Amino acid sequence: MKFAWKVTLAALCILVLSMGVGSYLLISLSFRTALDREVGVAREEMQMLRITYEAVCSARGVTLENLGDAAQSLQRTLGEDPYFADRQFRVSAQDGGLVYSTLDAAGDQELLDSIDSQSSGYILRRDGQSGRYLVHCAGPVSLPDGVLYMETIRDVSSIFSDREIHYQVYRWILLLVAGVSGAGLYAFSCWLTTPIRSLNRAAVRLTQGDYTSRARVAGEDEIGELSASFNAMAGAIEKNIQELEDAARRQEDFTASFVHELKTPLTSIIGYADMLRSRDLPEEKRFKAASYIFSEGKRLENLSLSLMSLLVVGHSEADVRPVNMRRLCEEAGRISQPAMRKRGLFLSVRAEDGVLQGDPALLQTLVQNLLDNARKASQPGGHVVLEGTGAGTGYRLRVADQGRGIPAEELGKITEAFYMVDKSRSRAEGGAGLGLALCQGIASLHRGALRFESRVGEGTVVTVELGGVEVA
Amino acid sequence: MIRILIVEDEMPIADLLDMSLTAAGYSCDCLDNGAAAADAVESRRYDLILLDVMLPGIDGFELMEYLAPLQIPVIFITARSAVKDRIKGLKLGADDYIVKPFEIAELLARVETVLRRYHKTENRVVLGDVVVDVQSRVVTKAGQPVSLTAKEYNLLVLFLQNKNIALFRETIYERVWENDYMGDSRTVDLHVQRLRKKLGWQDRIAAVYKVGYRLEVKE
Repeated sequence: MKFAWKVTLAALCILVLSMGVGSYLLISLSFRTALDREVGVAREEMQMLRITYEAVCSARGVTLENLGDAAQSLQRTLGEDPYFADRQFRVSAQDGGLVYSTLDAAGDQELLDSIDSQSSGYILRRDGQSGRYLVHCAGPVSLPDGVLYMETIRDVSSIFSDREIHYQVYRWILLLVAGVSGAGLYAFSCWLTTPIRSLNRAAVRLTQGDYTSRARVAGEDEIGELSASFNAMAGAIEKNIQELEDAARRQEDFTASFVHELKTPLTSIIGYADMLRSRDLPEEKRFKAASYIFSEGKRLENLSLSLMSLLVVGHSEADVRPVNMRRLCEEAGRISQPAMRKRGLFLSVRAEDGVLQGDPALLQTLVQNLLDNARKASQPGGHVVLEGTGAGTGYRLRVADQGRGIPAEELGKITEAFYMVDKSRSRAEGGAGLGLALCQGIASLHRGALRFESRVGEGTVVTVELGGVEVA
Repeated sequence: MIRILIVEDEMPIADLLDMSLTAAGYSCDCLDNGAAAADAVESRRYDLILLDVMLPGIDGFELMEYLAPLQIPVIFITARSAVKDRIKGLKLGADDYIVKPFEIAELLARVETVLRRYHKTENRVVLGDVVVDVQSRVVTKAGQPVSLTAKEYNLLVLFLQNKNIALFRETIYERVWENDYMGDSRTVDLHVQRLRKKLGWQDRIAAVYKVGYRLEVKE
């Protein structure tokens, strides 16, 4: 059952039940009061009639002895007396003998038995034939030598029928109230559950893979809070999924590039070897094939070395110790100098003193790689500058060249593994596209990052801010 | 002569394809990028294009979309062996798919199969007095039909595709029986003997010591 229906039905039940019980009690109470009043009136009337009758009897000197004789004249007198003419009553002797009666109903012996010369009584009864409710009163009439009993009857049906009418009217009112408030309650609970339904739809969409799905946040009640929490959860999920997808995509890209980088030299090696072993080639072609096998084999070796370093940076424990960065920079400059000179480049190294917690071999690789990149990008006659400056507890490396530069749209991708801005040129230089990925890995190990500023045709500046490895 | 365009940015592989196909009697042009290839197919008529998928600039798949309406047979050459990549290539209209690394015999067989599908090759291969009708798979010697089993016929075709090339027993086994070679050389030897006998090619199919066999054709 829908929540809205549950709320509606529960509220409706409580409403109808409490209204029903309340009104039943109210009607019963008012009925009881009215009935008591009517009974009081009936008894009072009987009392008045009895006293008057007693007075008449005493004035006429009626006794039980002369009752038979006096009865006739008394009856006449009573018939003419306007007070008695309007009233209906019955007078009977103690033994049950009828003295006088204007009642069309019979006497009630049971009632008469329950009273005596001192007390009066009444009963409420329902007339079987007419279905009327009657208050039957009885009381003693004292005569000098005995007692007569008087009975009167008062019709109180109107009270009962009033009660019936009240009940009936009330039933209709209840029905009307139930209908109107039921509709109102349903509309209200539907309105209340709107955010829940919206939340549910959002959850279903989320389940179906739409991670951008959000619930509408309405109000600041618990449901509003729930919607807000749900949205926060959906946001977190979306972010995580996004990250997972990105990681999976990077992984896939890496694998695809890796397979390509691996299979390309393998294809050449296998192909040329196959050619060499299965046919007689002219000298010049045999040389060419063998050279290709050699160079592609070298390429595989480079790839495996770079991959190894990348894996080492990624997974192994670095050999951390204080590193004199000035000496490290100067050493890197010394190692690079011959290759620079060979290409006709001028390398200058300006390094400040500074000590960094780090892995000296990895840092050496980092600086060396950056210098290699600068060399490969430069034209003969260019200048390459390596600067090292201490920055608090960290150290800043800066390698500037006047080479061909990197197009702005490529800058974001150059640190991805296997990414090469110019594939054929990079190949010619023996690169596998792993150098900067390695540098990035080393930099982040030392709590740093690579920052590139480059203009095509003017040169590139790489800045690495290193914080040093945190010493536990 | 059949003209093949090789689009491959890796120089060593482009050279390898060029050398192998030229030796097999095709005429080849090599290009290292998609844009140049798109220009080339407009200026010259090619019977087949060997297309690398990972090209700088326009990649092989993109170039394929451009080439598809031209009705030139295309064979993709790629390092990606993932099924979805293969399906993508074939859906784009490529005729076949060669995964790196490949052997030259496989390359030649695939090239020939695609060319035959486009009726670019001669239906009849003639070597001496032996005539092979590739379409009806009927072999005649001096006008007389020669009855060959399916494997013998495949073996003959393999030899004809690799004239003057020493075929290793494992290569023969893998190409003719299309199974991995498990070192059982007698099957290959037996079939070669039968083929020699039926065609009278005792001298033409020469045994290469410790390697296999070579079909010798003097040019």
